[in-house]
Amino acid sequence: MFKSDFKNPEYYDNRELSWLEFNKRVLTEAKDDTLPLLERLKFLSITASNLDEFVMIRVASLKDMVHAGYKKKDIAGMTPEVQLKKISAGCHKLVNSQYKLFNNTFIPLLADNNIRLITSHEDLDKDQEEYVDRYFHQEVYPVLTPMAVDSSRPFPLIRNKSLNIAALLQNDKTGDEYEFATVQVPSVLPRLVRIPSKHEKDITFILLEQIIEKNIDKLFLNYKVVCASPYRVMRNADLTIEEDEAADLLTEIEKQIRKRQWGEAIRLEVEDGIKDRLLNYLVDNLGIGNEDIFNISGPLDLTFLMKMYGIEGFDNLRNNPFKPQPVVDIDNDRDIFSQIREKDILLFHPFQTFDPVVDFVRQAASDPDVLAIKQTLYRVSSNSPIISSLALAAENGKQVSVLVELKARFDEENNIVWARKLEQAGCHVIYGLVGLKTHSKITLVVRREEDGIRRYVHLGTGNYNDSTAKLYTDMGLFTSSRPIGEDATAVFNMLSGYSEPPSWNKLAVAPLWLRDKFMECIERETAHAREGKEARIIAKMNSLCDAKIIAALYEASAAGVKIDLIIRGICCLKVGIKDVSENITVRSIVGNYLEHSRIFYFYNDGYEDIFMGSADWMPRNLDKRVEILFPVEEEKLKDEIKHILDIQLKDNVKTRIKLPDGSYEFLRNDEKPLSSQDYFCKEAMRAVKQFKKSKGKSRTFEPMMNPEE
Amino acid sequence: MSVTTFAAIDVGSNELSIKIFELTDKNVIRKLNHVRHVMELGSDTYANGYISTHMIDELCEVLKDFTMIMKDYGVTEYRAYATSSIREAGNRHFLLDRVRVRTGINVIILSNPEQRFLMLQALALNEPDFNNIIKHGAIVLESGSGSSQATCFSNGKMITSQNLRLGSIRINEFLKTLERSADSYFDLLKEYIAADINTTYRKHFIKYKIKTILAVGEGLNSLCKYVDYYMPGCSVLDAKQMNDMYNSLMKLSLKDLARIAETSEEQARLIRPTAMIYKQIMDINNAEHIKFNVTDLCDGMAYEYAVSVKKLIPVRNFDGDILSAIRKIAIKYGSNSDHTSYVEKIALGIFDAFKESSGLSSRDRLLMQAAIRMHDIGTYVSFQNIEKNSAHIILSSDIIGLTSRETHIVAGIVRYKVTEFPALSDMEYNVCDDDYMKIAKLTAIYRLANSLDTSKCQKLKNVTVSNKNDKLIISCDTFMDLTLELASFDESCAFFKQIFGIVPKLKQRRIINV
Repeated sequence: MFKSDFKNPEYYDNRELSWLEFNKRVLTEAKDDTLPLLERLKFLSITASNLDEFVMIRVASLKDMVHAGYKKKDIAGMTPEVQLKKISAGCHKLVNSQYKLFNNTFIPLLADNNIRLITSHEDLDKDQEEYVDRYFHQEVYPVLTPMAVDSSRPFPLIRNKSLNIAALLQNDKTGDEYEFATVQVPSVLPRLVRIPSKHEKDITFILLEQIIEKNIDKLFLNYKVVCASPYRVMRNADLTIEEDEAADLLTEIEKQIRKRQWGEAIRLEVEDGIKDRLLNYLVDNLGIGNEDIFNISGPLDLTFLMKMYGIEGFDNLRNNPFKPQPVVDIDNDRDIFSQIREKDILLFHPFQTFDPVVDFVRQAASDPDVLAIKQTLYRVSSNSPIISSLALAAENGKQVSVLVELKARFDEENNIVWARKLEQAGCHVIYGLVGLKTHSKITLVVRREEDGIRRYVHLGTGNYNDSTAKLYTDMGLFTSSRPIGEDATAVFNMLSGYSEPPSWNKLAVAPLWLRDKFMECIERETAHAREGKEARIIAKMNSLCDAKIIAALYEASAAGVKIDLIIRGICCLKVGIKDVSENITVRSIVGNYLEHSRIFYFYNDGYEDIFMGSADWMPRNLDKRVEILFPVEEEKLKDEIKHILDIQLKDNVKTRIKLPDGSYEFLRNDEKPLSSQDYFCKEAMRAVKQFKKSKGKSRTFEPMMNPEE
Repeated sequence: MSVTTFAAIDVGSNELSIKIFELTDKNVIRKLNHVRHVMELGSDTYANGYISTHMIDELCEVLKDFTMIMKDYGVTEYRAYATSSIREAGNRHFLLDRVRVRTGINVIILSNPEQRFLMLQALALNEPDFNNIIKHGAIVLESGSGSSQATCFSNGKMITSQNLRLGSIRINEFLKTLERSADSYFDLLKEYIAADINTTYRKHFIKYKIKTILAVGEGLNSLCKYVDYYMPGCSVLDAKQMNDMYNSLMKLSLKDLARIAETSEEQARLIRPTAMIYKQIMDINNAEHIKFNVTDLCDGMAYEYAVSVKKLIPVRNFDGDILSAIRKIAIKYGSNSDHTSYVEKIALGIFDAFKESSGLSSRDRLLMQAAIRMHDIGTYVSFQNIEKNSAHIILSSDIIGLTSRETHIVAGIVRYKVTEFPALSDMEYNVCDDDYMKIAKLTAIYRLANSLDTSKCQKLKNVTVSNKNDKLIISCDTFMDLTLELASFDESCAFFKQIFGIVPKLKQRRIINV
């Protein structure tokens, strides 16, 4: 087969449809009746917020393309129009499944467990009605801003993602034609309102929009409310161009942007049973197409379920909380630098705690021998202990440089606040690079030691965020390796705007070198396979949609390389194509923790190469971001990572296998059920137990050493 | 173990760079960081003769950043050297003052020979095969953005070193205006470079057999990236490979070249003139190989500093090279070599006999030798004002291995070898107190030695010098009339006494045929 044949669009899945498949997989978690009820609710909520983000970013971007007359086909040979059509169908199907689950399963199950959610105010009893009306008067009414539309008051701007109630009014006196009015459900008040229960054992909630709807006539005195119904609009408010798109698109859109109305509506959600007249009014004024209207048979915007997940009590309906375990390779009583000096240390979150990373920066901040600390920060938690340590370090006279990525989506405001804080403390803050998102996760500590300068580096696959480190699976590496230290310095030189180094020792850095590195590794396996040698690739990442990488993988597979891909989200690679991808398996693990680590294994004729990093195999990661891929070189750590990959490949509980038609199904086999995430939790606990035991067992006496030594 | 971190800052014509080094007691220099900022200071200087305000602002900004990088590594010692772009800028003094005030960095301007000598020393350290390469004849060619320096080695010794005003930025600036009207820009470029090489270069270098061209210099990074792309992992090219590489380089579009060399198109424009200079010099010498070495000036600074604080044992003593190159200069100007060698020998005898009490160092001994070897080169111009002419030639020659101060000392000795020695304020050259004393002392020794060959007939044989209890006695055998010498000896003794407080005595051991 010719090389170019691997680029046949038929061999690729569209990334948006593949994403929808992913969200479907999350939904299957919500359907999993072996899970505690509130955990299932959480998954349903996640599918809803995922879908919101998807529409706002991806659908919006496709709409832009259509408006700009951009006809270029995607990796799977679809024009933006075709994609939108298929996405719309997929979304409708997904939403139907969501509400089927919500109505038919969750509402009854919640009731069985004494949690009642009243989705329609008509279902309230008298006491409850009183309570609700009082609540409306005291809490809700003062913050409402009803808006009527008539010849002198145009249709108002409905805010993106906001929940609203539309109403048709009739003037009491004149009985004239219908007038339209709308009121936003205030986001400052909790959506989920607890009200008195009919039965003592129960707890009961109602949704805020129901309270408003019930009392809507109080907003429009002298009018009769003919009908009222909640609705929600999603807008294309994101005027910045997605980094994923081609540069030629950018110019196209820039040309078009002035022609377009600000924040065009791209999705309208209305409750089932909305009166045609009201719906038509909305549709006309929002200028929305039929395919973008979602008739919802239940409450709009299911993200409120996340709040429900957190209700007090009901611990029996949630998983037992897992406490990230201490890292047995790190002794908290000793300084971390001497331990890293002895050997590289691998961290596996959230099974192991993120504390060592926080401690690393904290110790560096007050260590008199530390000269400088440099770190890239992408998304950090509010009140991050890392930020405080960096600020302290600057106050202690260390050279502190921090690259703060302001372009991290949805986090802009948060980032600016703490970036200012760092600057005030005397840190040197770089606000990202023009045209590139800095996605790499790296910390460098420069320390003056007796035998000279030594550099300590932490490299990770996840952000420096102590909160998400409890929810995302990520890997980290501490090392004092000299070549990596030199490279780390070069990375920060580059990030400070200086010329790149003449060559790299160990790290591969995007956007300039990383793609070549991956291609090289894949092509090397292909060459080995052609020579009749054993050849194998295992790659774990969040998404795979880079056409060149996929073509290289097809070529490798065709040459006989055995390829196992563990890809949580989007995967545009198709399996099972004859002579193209028969040697490739794709699996997705969707479980309690968000799979987030990126691990790349190449057999390399027995000289196994293992890399980890911040990049997915997506064009944006390889071409438009600063990303770092780092090798794991110590044999013991390589074994640990191979073990992790092995367990993930053996997972037959949370693993879904990608089928040739692009759909996924649970992997079921005759092996003993194994959920990799559960396994790692237990393994981490076991390791700590064993470590404690082995310490206690020691028959030799341990002399106390002079602490100075 | 004591460890020092040292920063070397190179304010070059095409880029500013800083290297942080760690020096241990183990004779090891380890590079910790290297940061470069591309900035064509040279294009301002070579086109306008001065450096513009916005460039100075940028320079200050970057140097300020450099001070932060120095703090990252707890650097306490640094050197910051500027080269031709600042050296030739009319506003260099104001500029350097502004840099000092704004950044705290004291930038020192290197003379061309100082700059080149630093490179040679660093090259001798970093090029493992250095001694072997120069044994078989080599040109060290440092093609920079302002000029190129060619240093010729034959039989393991430095022969000569010449500066050619051929530098990538300088050429580009000059040809910019002609580019549009020329049929072929490359032919124009070739012709421009050939003009210099066929005249100046040919005259000095063509007579030596050269096996290897050792390519170094700041402009080399990008060219090396292309060489590595063309022949991966290869830093030595034979004549054919060089020719093929060169041809392929000339065919590329600027865009592709920039991509391969991982640089901007603006910077990629400098690659071809540089390659052309190397190619033409390789051809004219019929060299067998060209070897690329990315040693730069910062490495030279680290070497110099490490040697000065005794953290490094010099890998090669360049004194012999300096003297052999000076001898070539003397020969070029028709110096009287019998007389010169004779006087040099006696002077060294005197110097060594009372080195302890003279307060002079072995480096001063070298300067005296340099002065003696070039003392009469002014005769090439005219027999009038020989001393003045000699001194002028010395000051105008690029003597590799001597610092600018040292060259002035040498010129001072030559200038006042005969005429009355002036007070410091009346010296023709600007010299400091220390250097004034050195000139005086070395002149006194030189005059004494020279007086013993006033007739230029080398009448004294077996000259020995002894120094016992501050009594300097020069003994010799002779069978000829010394009237002339004795008169002159007495005169130089007076000056010698004035300087050292000692009156030398001349003892004739055997007098034959009085």
